[in-house]
Amino acid sequence: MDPNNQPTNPVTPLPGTSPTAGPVAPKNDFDKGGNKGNRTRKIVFIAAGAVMLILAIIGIVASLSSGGSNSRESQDNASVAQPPDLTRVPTSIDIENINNSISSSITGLDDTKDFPEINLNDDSLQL
Amino acid sequence: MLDAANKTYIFILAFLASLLFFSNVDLSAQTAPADAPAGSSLEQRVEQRKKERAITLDEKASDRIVDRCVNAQGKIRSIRGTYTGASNNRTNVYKDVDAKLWIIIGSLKLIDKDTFKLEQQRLDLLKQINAFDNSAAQLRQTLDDLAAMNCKADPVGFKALLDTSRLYNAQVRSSFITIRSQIIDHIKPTLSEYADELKIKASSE
Repeated sequence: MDPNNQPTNPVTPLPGTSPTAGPVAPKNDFDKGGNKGNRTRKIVFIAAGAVMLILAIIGIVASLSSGGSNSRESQDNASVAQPPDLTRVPTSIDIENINNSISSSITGLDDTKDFPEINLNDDSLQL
Repeated sequence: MLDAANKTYIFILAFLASLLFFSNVDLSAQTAPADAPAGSSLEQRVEQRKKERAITLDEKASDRIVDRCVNAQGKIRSIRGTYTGASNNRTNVYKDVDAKLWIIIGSLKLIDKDTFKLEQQRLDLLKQINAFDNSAAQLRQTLDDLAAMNCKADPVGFKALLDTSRLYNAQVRSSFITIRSQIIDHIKPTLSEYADELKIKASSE
């Protein structure tokens, strides 16, 4: 054999090392599953985050609305005396409170303003 | 032959009878309207009110109504809205008063107090509240009919409904004045009596 004619071993280029090499195709199934797993985990985290955000918003809205009704209730309580508890013995003060509460309810109605007869006469209706 | 006293008596009777016969008193206008039957149509209610009021219109009055009724219907719609709010507000106040009475009656029974008088007054109040609610509902219905009907085609019907609504309006006013009197003049003094009794009892113990 001519020592100068030694066959050269073909050199297989390493993948990805050539400047003109394209994206690396996965060499085996394990890599495919790994990328999918990452994607799935991301989706799960995003979904969990969205659910927690929605629950937080619901909780804030619920607390605001119950706080509002509580303030309305306290305003109502301030303007109207509470009726006595049926389970305890009534005192004269309880009855006076009820009496005063009834007075304020009735005096709050204006008999001159409600259903005035003048509304339906010919002059008012221009008949 | 009739003596002078009998003649005078007959003359007076004849005079009164002629007054009654020729008088211009419109008795139908004073008759309280009957409640419209549940489920009745607009046409049925208009006919009912026309029969009740027995209205006759001369040509001039009829033409006047035809010319002006549509404008009046607009005003009636507005009045109807106002009246609905007023009657709802009153009904709520009356129900509140009734609820408080019911509670205080229960409390007084708990200490073996005789509550017969207060219970009777509460029942009377309930009847008056129901009468108010009914009159207010009939008034609202009549105003609805006034606003909805073809007044140009039926001026007599329009006039009948209008007179009916005025009668119901008067009934509503009368009923809430009665309710106020029942509460202020009867129920409140009774409650004050119970309060005084309990005060005396507490001071003696």
